[in-house]
Amino acid sequence: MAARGPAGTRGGSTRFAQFKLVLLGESAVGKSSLVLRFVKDQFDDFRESTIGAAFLTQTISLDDNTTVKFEIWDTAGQERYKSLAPMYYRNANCAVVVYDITQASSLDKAKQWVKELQRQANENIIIALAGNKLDLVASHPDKRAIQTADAEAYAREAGLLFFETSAKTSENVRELFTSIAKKLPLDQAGPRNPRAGGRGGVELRSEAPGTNANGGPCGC
Amino acid sequence: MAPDKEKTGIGFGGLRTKSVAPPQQQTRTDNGIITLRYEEAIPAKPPIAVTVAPPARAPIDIHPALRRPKSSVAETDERKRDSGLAPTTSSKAREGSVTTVDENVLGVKMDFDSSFQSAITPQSPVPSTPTPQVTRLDSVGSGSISRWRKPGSRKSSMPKTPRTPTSKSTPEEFTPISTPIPTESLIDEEFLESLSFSKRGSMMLGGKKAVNGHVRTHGGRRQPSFSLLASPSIKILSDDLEKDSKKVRSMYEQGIGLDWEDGKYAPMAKRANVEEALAEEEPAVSNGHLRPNGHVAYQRPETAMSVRQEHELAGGIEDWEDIDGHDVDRYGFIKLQRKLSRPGTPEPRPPQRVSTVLQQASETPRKQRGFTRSPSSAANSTRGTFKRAPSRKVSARSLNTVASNSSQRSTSRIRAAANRLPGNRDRRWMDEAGDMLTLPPGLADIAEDEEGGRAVEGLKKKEWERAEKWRKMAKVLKTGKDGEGMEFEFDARSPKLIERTWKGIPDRWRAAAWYSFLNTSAKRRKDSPSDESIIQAFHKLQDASSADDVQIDIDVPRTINSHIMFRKRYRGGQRLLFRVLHALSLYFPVTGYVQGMASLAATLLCYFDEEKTFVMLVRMWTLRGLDKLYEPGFPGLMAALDEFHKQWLDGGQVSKKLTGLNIEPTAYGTRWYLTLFNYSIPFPAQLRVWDIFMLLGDSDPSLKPTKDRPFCGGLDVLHATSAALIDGTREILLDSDFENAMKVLTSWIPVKDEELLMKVTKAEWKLHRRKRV
Repeated sequence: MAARGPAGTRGGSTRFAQFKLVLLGESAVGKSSLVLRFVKDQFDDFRESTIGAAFLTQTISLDDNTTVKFEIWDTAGQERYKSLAPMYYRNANCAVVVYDITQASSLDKAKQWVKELQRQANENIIIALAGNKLDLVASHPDKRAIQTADAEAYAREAGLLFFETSAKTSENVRELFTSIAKKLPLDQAGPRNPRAGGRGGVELRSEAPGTNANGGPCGC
Repeated sequence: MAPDKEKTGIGFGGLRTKSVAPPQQQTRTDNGIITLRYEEAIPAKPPIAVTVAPPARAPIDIHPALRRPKSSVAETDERKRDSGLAPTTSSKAREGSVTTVDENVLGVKMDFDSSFQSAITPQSPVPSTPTPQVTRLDSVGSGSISRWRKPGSRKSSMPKTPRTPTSKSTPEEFTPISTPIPTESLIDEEFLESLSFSKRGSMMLGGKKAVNGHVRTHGGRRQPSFSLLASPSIKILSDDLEKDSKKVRSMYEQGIGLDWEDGKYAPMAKRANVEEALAEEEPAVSNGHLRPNGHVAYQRPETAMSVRQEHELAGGIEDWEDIDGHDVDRYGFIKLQRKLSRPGTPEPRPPQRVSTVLQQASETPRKQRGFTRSPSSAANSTRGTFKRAPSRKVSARSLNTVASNSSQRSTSRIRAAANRLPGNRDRRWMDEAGDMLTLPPGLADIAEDEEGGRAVEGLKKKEWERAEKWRKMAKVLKTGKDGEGMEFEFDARSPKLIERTWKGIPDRWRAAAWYSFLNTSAKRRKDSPSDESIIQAFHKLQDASSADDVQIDIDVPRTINSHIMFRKRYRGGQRLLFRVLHALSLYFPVTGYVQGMASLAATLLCYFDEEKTFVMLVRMWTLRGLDKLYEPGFPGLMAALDEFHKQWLDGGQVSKKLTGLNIEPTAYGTRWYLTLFNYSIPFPAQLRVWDIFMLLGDSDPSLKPTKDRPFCGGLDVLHATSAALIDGTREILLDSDFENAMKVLTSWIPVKDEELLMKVTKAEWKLHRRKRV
């Protein structure tokens, strides 16, 4: 089921796969910062709030002959933008749900997102839970509001990948995305189709939240 | 009981007695006071804030949000509560019992949310404070909700009669204050100890970010239909939210600085500052109180920060620490090249959202078109082929279309020549739209400084001339003394004015013109509240709590923080921005605060003081369709994007291409419309769009709003701008795959030639008008 920008062999034995990834989580937990670190290896202390969603891509090599490209949709975190989220997570192959380890409420919100994804999104979606702002507790351990073990236990129970990350120091950022890539079904990907129209991913009409619960994001 | 006496009692003594009133009052015989069982209590009449300080003349339109009980009383009380000195319930009950000022002035019926019932648990007074009155009052009022409810809102069978005597008794309850009232309670030691700041400057209380994401306890937000002056959906905040809101607001009120080194608040030193500030209390210095137009000044308790640091200029709203005049462009943005010095503060940086393709396009010299312009046409073929741009394949599509020729040489020579014919100007602008990404000829070589350095002498002179023309068009409405607070009016229907607005309002006239344009729109509508009432609302709302305060606080420091006004945490422009957004979130309770609004408010704050900014925002909301764009669930935004899709993109080449790629305006248009392009184009270009949007953004009265066209043409300027941006990136888009097209469309679009952007916008706008007729 399917990398949506279908993948396949390129040259001899190399594989290339493209996947849609969506970031979700409460406002100001560091979604955009994680993406910015991952894609451009930069960090801003005061990143402007995301309106609607931002679109970025990044390619990583898993090994000598496997390349994975992420098509990343970074969403707005404020509750009020929640109604737009289905447009972005529809047909996503993977999701990173982010919370802030210094803020208890943000994990609750993350759990809601996980629930919603598991109910509404692509049924084979790979979800990773990321507890961001690890740098803050490094210097001030008392700032931690969510214990690693608690979040980890939850992640295990819900079947999620789990990392504590710091977009600021870049700790675990690459690991997070790499481990997602490794979990994606590279083998089932089809041949690459460079300028394909009709790729299932961007019909951003919002009417029906969570259509396409039956997997198979891409018809081709 | 003379009414005015009653007012005095309420305003100045009545409530304050709360904590000091002698207990014997409780047993006093007073026919006016009746005892009710708690369950029988009817919702108290909210005290209309006007009672506190009656304005010189009666406010004509009181905004619904104001109709809640908000008074100086409430404020003193709430301060106490924050300091742990005063119990919540009692004070509210008290207020409820005091006010009967008038019968349902607003004719507003309010929903009584049954969930409040449970919230009415009478609280026991906070132990440390003797509050003898509390008990008595609780028996009269109806607990904490009373404050928020209007009589009769609850389908109660209680007759209203008993209420009058209750209120009459008020003056008699007046007892002079005998206990010092803490005015500074929010920054007591205990509070300071629990206070710290995260690295990004968010306020942390006891190690936690001040609550984020609390559920609103009232469903008012979700009311689907929103008619501005008719539905005051009063939100009742949970205690936590209320507390958070207070604390956040107090930070801005005190303007407490941060030690950015480690993101922690340094209590001692700064606190001394604040105390001085409080001691000084010099209203003239506090920048929140600019009153250029001589409006009735609301004397708020002067806790507003007033100790200014020496580098805080322009009335304290600009922070010039480490910045020289030449580091800042004419709009107040700190130039990108500047090297950082002050640790911790946001540093200016190049916009990071520029897609690579766009960046390259904007760096390539402008191509030569046809037979025109300069002789150095040798360079003409280099552009168009962005060297590292996505490979250009010559496809069937690109062979027979104008736009794809453009990927080689933009426009064919014949067409380029034809475009120079008198009637074809608009087409020419649209054909050449791609040039908006590069500097106009003549400026390209001298503009080493991308965003700021266009202040070339010739342009300056031109601007002076244009400013002079605008001066002649301006009609003076009002002059203050020494020329202060002048107000101007422009004839919004004058074709000359419209023509000149398309060409750009000279910056010095911008504020006056924008204001006049919206004022003209407001006058056309009978239901528009006056400036005075909006400003009054603004000040009143500062004392109310908003569920959105925490979110606003998160967003304020990350809103155009490379601007000289918005650098300093909790102070200067950030403080004004917070106050304006705070008031806005309450003034339009259905919409509340939504991310994206901050960029609108910040833009206006570059031109207006906070009061006028608020007036402008209110007018933009009601008269320029922003209230619909930000409607919960975004049905208005979706309708706008749909309108753009169907009526503007209109099956053209780019549209076909995008449809083929499955990219709809919803994928990229959200931020264009919600931030009115603040997120997507450079500030000078954004201002130009706003110039014309302020002038021509009225909805067409001849059209009836339907579900499909809720804006009735009001967004045409925005649509035309969107269309122009698509024209400007057309060559790139036509050559893009899904990924590149998405990147271009969601990117910052580095429009360097805003003249051309506006020419294309105008051409699109005219074309659409013609189609519509």
